[in-house]
Amino acid sequence: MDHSDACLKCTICITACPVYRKDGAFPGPKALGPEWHRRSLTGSADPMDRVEDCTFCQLCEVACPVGVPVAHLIAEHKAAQLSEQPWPIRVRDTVLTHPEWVARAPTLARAPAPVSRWLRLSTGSRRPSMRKAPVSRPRRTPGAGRPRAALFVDCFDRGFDQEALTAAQALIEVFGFDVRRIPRTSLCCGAAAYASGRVTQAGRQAEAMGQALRGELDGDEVALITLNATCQGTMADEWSTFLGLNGLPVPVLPFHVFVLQYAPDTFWSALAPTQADPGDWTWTHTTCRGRRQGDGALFQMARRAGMDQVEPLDLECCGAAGSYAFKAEHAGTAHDIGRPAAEQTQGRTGVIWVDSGTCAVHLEQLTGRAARHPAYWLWQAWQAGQAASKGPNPPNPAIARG
Amino acid sequence: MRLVVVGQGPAGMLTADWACRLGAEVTVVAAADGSLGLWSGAWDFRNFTDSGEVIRDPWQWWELHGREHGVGWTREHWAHWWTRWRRTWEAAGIPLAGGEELPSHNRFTPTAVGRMVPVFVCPAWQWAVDEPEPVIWVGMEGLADAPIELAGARFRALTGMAASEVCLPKPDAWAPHWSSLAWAVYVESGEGRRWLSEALTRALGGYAGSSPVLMPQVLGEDGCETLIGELEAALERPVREYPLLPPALGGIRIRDRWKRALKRRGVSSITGTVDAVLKDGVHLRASGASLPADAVVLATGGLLGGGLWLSAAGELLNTATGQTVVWSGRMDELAVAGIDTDGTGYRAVGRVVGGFDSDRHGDSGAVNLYTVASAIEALFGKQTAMEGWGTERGGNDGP
Repeated sequence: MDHSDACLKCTICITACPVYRKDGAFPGPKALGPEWHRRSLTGSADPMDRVEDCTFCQLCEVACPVGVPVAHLIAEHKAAQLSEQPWPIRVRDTVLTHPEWVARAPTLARAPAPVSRWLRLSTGSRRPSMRKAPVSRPRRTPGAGRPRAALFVDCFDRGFDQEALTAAQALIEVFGFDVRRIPRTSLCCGAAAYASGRVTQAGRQAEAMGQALRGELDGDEVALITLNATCQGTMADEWSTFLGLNGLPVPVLPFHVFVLQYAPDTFWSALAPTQADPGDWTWTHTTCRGRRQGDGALFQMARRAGMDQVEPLDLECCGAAGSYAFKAEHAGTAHDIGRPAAEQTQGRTGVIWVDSGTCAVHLEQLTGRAARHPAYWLWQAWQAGQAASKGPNPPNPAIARG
Repeated sequence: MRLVVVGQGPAGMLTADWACRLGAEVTVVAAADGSLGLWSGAWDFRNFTDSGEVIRDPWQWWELHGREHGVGWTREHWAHWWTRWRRTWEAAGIPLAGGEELPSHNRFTPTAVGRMVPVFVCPAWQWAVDEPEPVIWVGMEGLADAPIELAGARFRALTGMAASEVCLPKPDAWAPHWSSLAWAVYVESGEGRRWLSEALTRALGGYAGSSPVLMPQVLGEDGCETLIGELEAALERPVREYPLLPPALGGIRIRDRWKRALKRRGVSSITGTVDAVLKDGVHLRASGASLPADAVVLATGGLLGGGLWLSAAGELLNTATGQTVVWSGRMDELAVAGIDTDGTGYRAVGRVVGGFDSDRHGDSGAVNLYTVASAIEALFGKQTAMEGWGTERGGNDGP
């Protein structure tokens, strides 16, 4: 890895670490990453206690002034202690680092309490449940001359939130694109395995995913659009930087970046506010992994969509961190990290726009407010606008037909 | 106007804040976190003369010597921008020592090793006084950054004032890897608050009088003011902090509050390295993407950012590329010089800009203020920069 040994010991990374800010016993990114790495180069690479408590949010890397891959060094450090873990945890983590299995069989998320306890799955963290009501979407046949886009089907949405996928597809079609969802079969980009220190496994998963996507992309798509910041970061950045894989032939863009770039002005003016009450709030949360792409675009999108009262959540990371909050040993920290969101939203009504499914589940539990992917909320606003423009008449059949 | 600010240290944040208030659509692009977390938060005007003597009246110093450094601002001009800066911080929830008025002269603030150094304005949690007075200097067992015996002895020797040293025993939760930030996290927790309050009350039981208690800068983050208030009520004497080595809690508090305030007003941020300023925006190195902009401000100097560096020979270098940056050589032009790229100008702000030597002279606050204000004047026009704050977007701190 480039810059592995470039640490200046400036400590900026620990000021950015959400776990360090909540847990005095956590040694922090500097000790677990660059300092452990330097020791490992001299042959004394014994893993440290608590290394597995890192959420792999990568905020330390974003903060580092000299480009040390702090979180990725910690992932290597985690790899050094995998064999020391008790075997129920190994079984659990084998499942959690294969979200593509869970996507095929979402009922795995409903492990009964005794099984959960044995596997050390948290019984205090809410698990994802299937979004039942499908979003209706106008059927369209591919049109000659229309620009094309591919919509990435991530494991979470494949298993639990088809609504978000359908809403995203419908919106991209409203912008004038032909859209295909890929990959067809359930595969994982490798993000979950890398976060748990299973770097070799992550490489294998990423390679299979890359192969599938390259086979299904024609290369003339404007972008591969993702609904999950972690998958986006993994494919756009980690594949080439850390796993030695080739990138994809088209740009991999987060949904909101695509929307801000490609939605026509007529789209924005056709939206209607969806808040039940004009006093309702729209909170936006850019997930920790989304922050590499930047912060503020979700907020801008909500404002542009005409939401009256928009406020970013005062969180750098919500604590969900993929499957982190689902692990019994991490649930307490995960809830502590996300608690400011509960305090911020207390006493006010509104909804949360958040660019990751597991973060949405976690934030819903902590705040008691509906938390969904922005594609879902934007589609609601579009439909409300369509209904309003038709007055008392039935909505436009081109839009409402399922 | 779409403005891109490159860098998120003090100068970048200030530029983003003011441009947003004046109506620009601002995006901050930064490769890393900026230097705020390494700095206690003191804003210096001018602390030392060229020969190293302490300056008590920095207003007068700039009036007499500013032009030698290419700065032609009057006292009123400085007052305008210092006031704007003070309001900006207060609106972001960063309280300043010294009440409503701008200080008429430099005050003194302690270092962790007992020196008293000049300061113009600092956050309210930090001890700053007109003249040194007797103090109780507190440290904690297991907090190596606060060597109180050394600090107390030095304070006595340098000021002639009494200083009592009090060392609190470490709490049960303490671990050897605790930095000042970990201490702050603990002290802000329910258990930590109880521990601190009890330990301090016990340790200070025998001390008469009302001398201020100087605490190492570990008194929590967002809850810092509440915690100080509680301690003052319990101890019946003023409680203030002295800054420690990095990570610096003062700067972390400022960074987090200021970022939050900017975010709420719609300032976006992007993680990345800008490698070119072009006619219609900036070019980002890693992604190869371009970000549209009508104007660009470079605030990459700072402690760690590299960015611009003025060599002893008077050459301005880009530390990332090592190339010489074209510049007329006149200090007063540098901040607004318009350094060419593809014919497009950008403005450079921050404490390493120009011929200033802030580490030696203690004027980093003034240099940040001067270079940022000059960029704002150039971008928005002098009249708007002086009078345009009434139309601030989302700000309720107008004059």
